[in-house]
Parts: sequence; C-alpha cells; structure tokens
Amino acid sequence: MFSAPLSLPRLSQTPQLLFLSARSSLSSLPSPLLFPPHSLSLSRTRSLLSCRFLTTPTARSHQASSSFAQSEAQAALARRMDAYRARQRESVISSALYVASIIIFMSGLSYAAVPLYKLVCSVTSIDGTPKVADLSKDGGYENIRPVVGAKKLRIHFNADVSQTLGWKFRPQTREVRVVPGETALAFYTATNNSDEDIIGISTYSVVPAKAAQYFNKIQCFCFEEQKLLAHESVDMPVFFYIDPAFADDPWMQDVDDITLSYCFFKSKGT
Amino acid sequence: MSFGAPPTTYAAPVAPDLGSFPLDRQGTCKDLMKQYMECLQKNGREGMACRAVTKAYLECRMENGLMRKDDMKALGFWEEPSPSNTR
Repeated sequence: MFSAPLSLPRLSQTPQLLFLSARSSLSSLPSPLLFPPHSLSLSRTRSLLSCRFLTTPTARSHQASSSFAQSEAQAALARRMDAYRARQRESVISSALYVASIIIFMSGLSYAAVPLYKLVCSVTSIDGTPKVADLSKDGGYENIRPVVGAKKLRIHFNADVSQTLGWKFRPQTREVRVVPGETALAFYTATNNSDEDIIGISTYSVVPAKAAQYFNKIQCFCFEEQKLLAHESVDMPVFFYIDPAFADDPWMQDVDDITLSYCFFKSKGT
Repeated sequence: MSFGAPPTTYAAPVAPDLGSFPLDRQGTCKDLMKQYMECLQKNGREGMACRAVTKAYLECRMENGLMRKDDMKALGFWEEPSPSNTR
C-alpha cells in the first residue's frame, strides 16, 4: 500500500501523510545527515499533495476537509522538523563543548606533565633515576656499611685543566680499591703557576656513565670557586663512597673500574 | 624520554652532600696526607687498610676549621666491631 502512493484514492491520503511523517520521524533517529528531511519530505509532501489535487477529482466537502487535514498535518510536520532541528543544534553544541573541554584538558595535562614526570620518576625510580636518599632521616652516613662479599672496585682518578687556567692540576692518588659502601679519601694537588691570584671552578664526571648514579661524594672541592694565590700549591681531598645498592644492581656486574675525572676551569670572577 | 630503551642512565653532576672542602692553604694536614699516600702505596691501594689514617686526616681538618665538625660515625666510620679487623 505504501509502495505506490500516487495511485491511491483520495480517501486514503492520510496514510500517505502518516507514511511521510513516520519517515521523517524515523530519519530523525540515527543518521539525520543521510535524509535531510527538509529537502526531501516536505517537498515530497508538497508535490504529492499537489498531484493529488490535480489528478483525482474530489467532492467539494471532501476537498475542504482533506485540505484542512492536510494543512494541519503540514503544520504538525513543520513543528516536528523544527523540534528536530533544535535537538540537532543542541547536540552539535554539546559535542562541540565536549571537544573543547578535551582540548583544554589535554593542553593542561601537557603543562602538568613535567612536574608529574619528575615526581613519578623520583618516587618509583623508573628509568634509572636514583632515589633521593634522605640523609637526615638516616642520621648521616651511619648506615652506610661496606657490602660484605661484594666485588672490589678500582676507582681511578683523573685530572684535567682548562687551557686558559694557568694551573697544574694532578691527582695524588691515582687509584683506590674499595668495596661498595666503603668511604674513601683521595687527593688532588693544584698549583698556581702564574703570578696572579686565579679563581677556578671545577666539575666532575664519572665513567662509566651507568655507574655515575652510585658514585656519591660526601665532600669534595667541586662546584665552588676555589681561589689560588700566586704560586700556591694546595691539596684538595675528595671524600666519597660507592652506594651499597651498586652490589645488587645486575647492570653493574661488568663494572670493575670507575674513573672519576675532574676538570678545572677559570671562573668568570677573575 | 625513552621508556623501553635499554637503561642508559645519564646522571648530571650532583653537588657533594656536605659541600666543598675549604682549601688547606697552610698545609696543616699535609703530613697526614702524606701518611695516607704511603699507606695506600704499602697496602696495594686498598682503601680499607687505611681507614685509620683517613679518620685522622678528617679529624685534623675538623680541628683546624677546614671541615664542618661531624661525628665520625656520621661520616661512615663505624666502630670496629672486633679486633679481628685487620689493618
């Protein structure tokens, strides 16, 4: 019955309108974009209605009542379509707001990522970040003990000096053998060969890089400006230990020698 | 950030825990330093063997105001548990 609307007699026009209204309500459900209701149904309604008037002669009373019914149906359809469009607009606005909030959230997260990352890494010690030891809690280095039965490590000492600095900088202790957890002392000697007071500042590096996290210096002479008077020679000690956790780390099993290398630069203060 | 890469730890140079030693310009503790060097020479560079001299050197530094005064135990010099600990 619904397949050939044009051939139906005039009395059954309401089924046509019912079909069209049903179709418009159906189309408003899942994919409104596929059946743009305004372009199809309304014009179809209009064309169908106009065809009806032309092709099927009707009695005047019938015509009057049916046209009234038709205009009513048209109005109902228009109302439904307005409601549909309003709902569609609402849904578009709400999805736009969702997307905007997601964008804002993600950009905020990217700003928060740096401190969050540092926090997570320091707490869980992921990716080799050494856990920050709370020395005040442990009461200093009292709990640092040589690990029993651990492999003896050879610590070599190296000294470099910058070309612009007129100092002679040598290690006095070339090598010390320690066990992880054992505190040890080493000496460097710096001589100022020039005629003026020079301020130097030093930095260090530990080789192999993976063992650097276990090399703890209790006290040394780096990162602070050291002033040497003209023709003065000074002994500089380094007091250090290898963290006891070194013995438990499987990645450190092939490490037998660690080299501590100091480099003196001319400080900008001079 | 390289999660999943083999563990290559780059540790940026860290300041020493107790800071920097003041320079021993007068050479007050130089003798002890020489003793320490000789001890190392004799004992084949064994750090454990020269703990007493290390302790003496640090005490010398502390007395002469060249180091912050600290309890020796707090610096990792625990009491010798038994006399069987060889020098």
